[in-house]
Amino acid sequence: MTREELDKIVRKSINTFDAYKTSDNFTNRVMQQVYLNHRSVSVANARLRPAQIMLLVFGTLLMWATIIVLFWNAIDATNMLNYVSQLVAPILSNVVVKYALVVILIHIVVVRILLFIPIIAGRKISIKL
Amino acid sequence: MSQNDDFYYLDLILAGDVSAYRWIVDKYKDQSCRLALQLVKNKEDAEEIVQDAFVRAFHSVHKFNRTASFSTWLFRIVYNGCIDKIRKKSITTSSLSEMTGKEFGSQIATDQSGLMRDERKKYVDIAISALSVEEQALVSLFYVHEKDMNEISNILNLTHGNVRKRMTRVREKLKGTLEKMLNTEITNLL
Repeated sequence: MTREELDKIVRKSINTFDAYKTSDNFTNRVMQQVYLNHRSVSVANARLRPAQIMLLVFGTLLMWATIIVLFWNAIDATNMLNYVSQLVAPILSNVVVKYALVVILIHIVVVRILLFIPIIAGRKISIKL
Repeated sequence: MSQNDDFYYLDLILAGDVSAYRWIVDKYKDQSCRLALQLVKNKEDAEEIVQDAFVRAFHSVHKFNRTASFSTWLFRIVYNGCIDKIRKKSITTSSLSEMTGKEFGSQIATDQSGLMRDERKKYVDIAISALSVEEQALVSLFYVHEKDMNEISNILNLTHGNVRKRMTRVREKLKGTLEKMLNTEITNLL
């Protein structure tokens, strides 16, 4: 059997599945999945401009500085923001609560920093919404 | 519909028009499913793989560099999906002819020439089933989808020379199996 003869036989006899058609709702299913994931992709592909990054970093630092000051004052239960400290002092007097808050705070700051590194480096971050 | 049409719709998608992807899906869904079906031999698995491939292609559409056609790029994703599926799950290799009879309602030929044609199809199916998955993909892309060597090398991630070598080996295997099965009848069928 020559190469041409073999090609002829295979071409004639191979199952091409010509009669095969995908399910009626196949396109809809694909599009549904595409739309579902589109938002997360948009976020992942977002690029921040330098001014936005500065604003974000500055805003976040300011926010955490405020929280830390309030937190510190609350622990000491002294001066300045008395009404806040009076409110939270009883809760914070509990050692377990105090340590738990510190751990949560550190965790949030670390996560924030880790999230900022790829943004500043201009790389994609994959956040599944 | 030309390759330019694909690029036109891809540009729309990149500009944010997600609905333009529907056109791409409609155009390539059947071809892609046929390729997957030839490799995984199960309709549900094939559709699942192709659906996943379309979603992956959409997410990576900005990475598509347009050096090859969109179908080549998509077929590569489908092929990789099939390989993953086969690795994960040992698919029972039911004969292709059995599937056509059950699932696609092929007509049973009653006349002599019809019987000969059916016999020949059966032998070719058996010979192809005996090949490895990669070789089956090669056969499908070359004989069914009529892709050229460059496109096949892109889809299978092989060099051009490697595709040629493998194609020669596949032909030898098919020839050996068919000659064994058909013996001298092969010449009468031509």
